[in-house]
Amino acid sequence: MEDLKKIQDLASAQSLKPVVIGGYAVRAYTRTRIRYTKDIDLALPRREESTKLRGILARLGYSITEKPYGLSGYRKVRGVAIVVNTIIDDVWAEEKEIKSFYPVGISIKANVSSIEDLLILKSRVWRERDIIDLCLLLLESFNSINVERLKQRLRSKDFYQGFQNSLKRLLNLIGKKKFHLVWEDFMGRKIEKGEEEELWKKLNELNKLVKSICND
Amino acid sequence: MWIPENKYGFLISMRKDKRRQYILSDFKLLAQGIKASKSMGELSIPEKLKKAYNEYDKKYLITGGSAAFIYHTYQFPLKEEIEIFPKDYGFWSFFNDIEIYPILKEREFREKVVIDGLFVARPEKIILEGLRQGSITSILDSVSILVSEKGLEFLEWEKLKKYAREYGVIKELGAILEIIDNELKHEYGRSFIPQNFINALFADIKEKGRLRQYPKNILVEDKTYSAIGDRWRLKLYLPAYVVKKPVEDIAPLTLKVI
Repeated sequence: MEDLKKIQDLASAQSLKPVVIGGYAVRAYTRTRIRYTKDIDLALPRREESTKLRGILARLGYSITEKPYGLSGYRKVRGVAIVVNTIIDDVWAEEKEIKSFYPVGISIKANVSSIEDLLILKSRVWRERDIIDLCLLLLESFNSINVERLKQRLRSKDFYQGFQNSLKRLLNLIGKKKFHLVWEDFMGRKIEKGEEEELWKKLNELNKLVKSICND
Repeated sequence: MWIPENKYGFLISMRKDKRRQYILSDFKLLAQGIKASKSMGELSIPEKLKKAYNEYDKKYLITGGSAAFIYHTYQFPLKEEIEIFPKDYGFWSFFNDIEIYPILKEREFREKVVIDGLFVARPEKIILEGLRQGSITSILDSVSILVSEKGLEFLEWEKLKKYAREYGVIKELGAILEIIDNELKHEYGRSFIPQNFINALFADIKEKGRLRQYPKNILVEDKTYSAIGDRWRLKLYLPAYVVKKPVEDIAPLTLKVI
């Protein structure tokens, strides 16, 4: 969290706005603690900007490695490894507060992915961790979803069909034992009946919205 | 059920894994637990644990996801978990912010690892328990320890093999090590997994019986490593990111390639 703040501060001084995606972004929209990994995931809109970010990370003591999708930075603070992974992707952002779980009580304001872009990113990657993140975003931040913005984002990313398929796949998982077990694995508790019903409702609602967007 | 010699005290009941367990604790221990937990109210959990040992002689072993995090500092734990001796349960039962398992054994406490003054379960135990549990997060903990600097600093390969037999996870350990080895070589051109160790595990595999599905709880069937799984007599659907992510995020620092 301290490093994320330093990166954001140095970046904004250079008019650079890396967008927080991944687990830290999900935390900005949810209260529930799940088993996140500690790596910091950032998105930059253009490859040229990664040169600037590379400089910022180097200034903070990171060793940088180029990756096919962007770059990764590594450094150690008091023997503890910190990893920053960046991707090149056009992600809309807003300023949000991210609270630390470990240790509890620290929070920072950061340039975080919009919930619509986060939903799209999570449904694209579609790993167990992302599926649980999707559920949490729907359960705890459904009212923050802006339908018009979602429509624009799905159009610009040409992901109507993919997004709809992900929602259908998730709807098919609701009530299944394997979904309950994976939920319990990441959350450390069983999913409650009311919670699952709520998730079902919100998924159906979102599915209808996306269908209507598709037919527009 | 643990019963003190004088056979009187408070009968404490607890539910663990659908089973109810009863522990009889004497009054003195309970009073000590109330006093200690009140006096330590504001302290952090590591400070509480150190104080419980230094001032009250209460032994513990950090275990599960919290122990894994001490080794790999990668995947956050959901709660702090410790194992304690059943006879001490009365004392610890008032520490509400810690998940307490009254199952600690002398051998495990004797073999503990001390990190920053805290008593931590050995990495072999955490790795193997993670593999035996066979969930995404527990396997990620195991892989992350296996590629972390601190995990490898304390890991004893012979103990890992010996305990893998006791835990009944030779196949799972062998397959995971072979996958880590391949990924490390593919990514960095070298590996720190001893090839003769993988070979020794492979010699233990019996070529009969049905292939066991591993991991058990997944939502997406990933066949990236199915050929390695076949060799180890496993129907392996291990999601590739469970190995690739720690190899990309943790191993560069361990291998000192950056």
